[in-house]
Amino acid sequence: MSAASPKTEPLLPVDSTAERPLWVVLSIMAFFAVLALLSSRLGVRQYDGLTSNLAGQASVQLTDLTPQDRLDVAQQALAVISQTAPDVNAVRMNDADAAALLEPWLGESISAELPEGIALPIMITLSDSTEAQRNSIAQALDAASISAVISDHKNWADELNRSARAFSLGSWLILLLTFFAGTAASIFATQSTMSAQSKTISVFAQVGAADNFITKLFVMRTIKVGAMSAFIGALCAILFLGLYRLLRGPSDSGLLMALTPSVSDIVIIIALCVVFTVVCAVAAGVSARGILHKTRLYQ
Amino acid sequence: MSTGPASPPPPNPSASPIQGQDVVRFDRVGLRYGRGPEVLNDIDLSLGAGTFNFLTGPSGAGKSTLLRLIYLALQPSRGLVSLFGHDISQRSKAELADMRRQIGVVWQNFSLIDHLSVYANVALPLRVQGVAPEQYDRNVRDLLSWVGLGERLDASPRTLSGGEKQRVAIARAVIAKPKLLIADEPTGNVDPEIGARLIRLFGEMNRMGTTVLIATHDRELIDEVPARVLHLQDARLYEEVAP
Ligand SMILES: Nc1ncnc2c1ncn2[C@@H]1O[C@H](COP(=O)(O)OP(=O)(O)OP(=O)(O)O)[C@@H](O)[C@H]1O
Ligand SMILES: [Mg+2]
Repeated sequence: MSAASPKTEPLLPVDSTAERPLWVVLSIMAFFAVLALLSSRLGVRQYDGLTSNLAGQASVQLTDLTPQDRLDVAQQALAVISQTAPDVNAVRMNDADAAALLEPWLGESISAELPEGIALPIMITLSDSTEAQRNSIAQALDAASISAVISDHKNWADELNRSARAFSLGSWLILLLTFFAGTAASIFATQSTMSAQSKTISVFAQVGAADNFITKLFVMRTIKVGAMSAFIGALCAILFLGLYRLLRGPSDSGLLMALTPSVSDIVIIIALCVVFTVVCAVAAGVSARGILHKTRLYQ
Repeated sequence: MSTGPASPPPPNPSASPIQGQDVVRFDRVGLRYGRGPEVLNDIDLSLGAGTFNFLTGPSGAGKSTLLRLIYLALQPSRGLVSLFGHDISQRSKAELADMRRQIGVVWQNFSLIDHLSVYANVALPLRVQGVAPEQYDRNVRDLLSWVGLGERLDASPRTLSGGEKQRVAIARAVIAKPKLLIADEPTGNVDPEIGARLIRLFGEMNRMGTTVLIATHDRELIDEVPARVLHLQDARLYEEVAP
């Protein structure tokens, strides 16, 4: 006997054109499912970061200032705040940042020349303050006849929370749809792969292979092909997302965050691949049984 | 007869004839495909264990159909089919599969697996039953030499001629030493010399206890071998009496 020993010849072709639909459909479906999954989880995590940063943040805006007294009033206000609530970290924002922050309310003119006698308001940010502390700061500033507006960003945080919820709901819906579409497509792809091999199945049956033997052969094969193509699709999705965030620029810790999915992400991705693979394996088993049944009218 | 061993592969002790029992028995069997006419009508047939039988008849007479009924690939429209002494209508799916495993079959279209080599195609019946390669390796090689394909072990069936494919199909049908061998036109595509050799192979199988039924048009073949001849015509089965 020459070259390849026939003893080890695999019963199913190593590279079968019949299996192409399974490869293509499953890897694409896994790609989209993982893309939907990762982007939704990254999005939710970013919202979480934003809202938790906002919690405990507040700002004091000093108003009715004149260009002459504004710096004195700022000093005075900081002194009052540190007296009233010593453990609150109060920092005066520089004028450029303050101007940028106030632009939506005061208009663009703020960064240009201000009219005579009108001064740019002073912004003081408070971190780690409680509502009680903010109330007593307000009272103390009032007592010191400094006119000030304290904002705890509550409205903004509420708004952000609402959109975060809508976003996460939407992305879960998309994920669910992608998953169902993926499952259905995988089943069809498996069926098509199996029916392309129906001659092989019926010849196996003809030479005396037991139904369980044949079914197991194709189920194991489908598990192999399914797991490999789902894995390839998932990997492509992770790389794609990383690349996308890299190209979008480092607006946050982007690339690192995308390229290093958390442990729970990995667990979910693996679970997703496993579910797709199991669906294909079950479909392969059912198809094999169906084909066996059809090849022998007598049963 | 220039290549290969002088005699067919060694005997198989497991295929000894079941004395006094019909391997195949038909009682008033009728068959029609769908709503078509009766292809077979009131067929009574019995193949004794260890007998050698030919089935002839004009094209379209229903020879392949009759073989399909024996292989349990078709269900009779009416009548009773018994195999190895069991009424098949009373048997479970698993038992039917078991019976089918004891039948070696050569179909007119060969049904070889293209992605397997000639060697692997012939070894397939043993392999799917869990026989270890070391146990069948020698037999497969000897058998393929005997049918004149000793040099083509690694070839894909795609690259074989019709006659070569037919010999692979025959080798595959006999490798597991079945109790019953049914062959549809097994010499239809080979030259007379190979045809004679194949018939010797069937004869050898038969001597070791295998019941043989061969469907053929080949009058010369029938005249060469002293065997029972069944003739299908107009949906009926007749037995030819030797002149
Ligand atoms: N699957 C089928 N569906 C419908 N009719 C069929 C089918 N198979 C065979 N027939 C019909 O049954 C009849 C017998 O066919 P069969 O193949 O058994 O003949 P045969 O004796 O083997 O012919 P040949 O010598 O040409 O092989 C034919 O008239 C054929 O048209
Ligand atoms: Mg025929």
